Amino acid sequence: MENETILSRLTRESESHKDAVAEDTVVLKFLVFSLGEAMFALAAEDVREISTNNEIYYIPFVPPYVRGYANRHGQPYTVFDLQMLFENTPLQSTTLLILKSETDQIAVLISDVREIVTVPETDLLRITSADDSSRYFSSALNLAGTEVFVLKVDALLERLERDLERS
Amino acid sequence: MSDHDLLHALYVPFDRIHILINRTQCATSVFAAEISPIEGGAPYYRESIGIGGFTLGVFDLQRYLCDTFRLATTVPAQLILIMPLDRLSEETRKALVTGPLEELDREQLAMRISSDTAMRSFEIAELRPLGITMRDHLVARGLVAAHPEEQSFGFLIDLDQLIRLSLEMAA
Repeated sequence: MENETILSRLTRESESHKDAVAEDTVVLKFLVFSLGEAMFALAAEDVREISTNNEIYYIPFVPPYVRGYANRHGQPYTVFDLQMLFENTPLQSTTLLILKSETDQIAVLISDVREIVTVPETDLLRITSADDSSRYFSSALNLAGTEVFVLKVDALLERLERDLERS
Repeated sequence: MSDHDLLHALYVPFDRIHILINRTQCATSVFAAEISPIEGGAPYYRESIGIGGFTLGVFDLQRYLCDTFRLATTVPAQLILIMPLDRLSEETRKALVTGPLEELDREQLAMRISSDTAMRSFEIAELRPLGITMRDHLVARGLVAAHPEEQSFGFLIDLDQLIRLSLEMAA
């Protein structure tokens, strides 16, 4: 067999192996955002819209991490302040991530959008800790040596439900 | 448009939000005059007004809304809304005329509100339900629905729930 033929065959086999790997590997897309100095991520499929310069209207009788309602296209979206929830300090910002949720119309107050990343599912770090804060995260991403936690949207609503039941 | 599709409401404007009160909860309005303090009332229920030979308790709705929604206003609360007490629940009625308040009229309640209050009609379709997670919690506290507008965000309130909650918190 000629070298040229061998090379051609090896190339072909290599390409078909790559295709097979690509078919097996699930790649996920995340939106990475900042809350002050901290960074978090959301699955891109959970985010409907990024919206800046929003008015947020105070709602009485709710926990302080619910900053109010935002009016998006004539619909009230409940705005969560994660910095208030995690660190008990209100975030000074008017930028929102409008989320896709089948349960409710919700938005998250953020400082800024950092980047959109694509990560093979196999590279996600699973969260095994059972402490209180970990309940809000499904996994973590390793971005250039920095661990970025991926937020679980449903966990926010579950926390709110619990707090309202107690009040 | 059919009347069934309309909400006739009192529109109370504040700086960034507005409050809607269903017209069915009020009978009439008068200018605030002959207002006197009463002993033994609750934080928002410490005044009375003489109208037509009767002494009505005055619920300071303006101050309650400002405190509850963290609103600042310089508009004087010189309008008095009159509400027949039979439009309130039994529990709220009792709370309004118990103890030292027994001398007050048992048929009507007066509510002090901003002089900027206006009558308006809205399509029911302009109202939005509150988010499902908080809905029951807020409805039980007198917030019935949202009314988002371009430059302001509104809440339709229920006076029965709101007044009862205010008096219970003070008790």
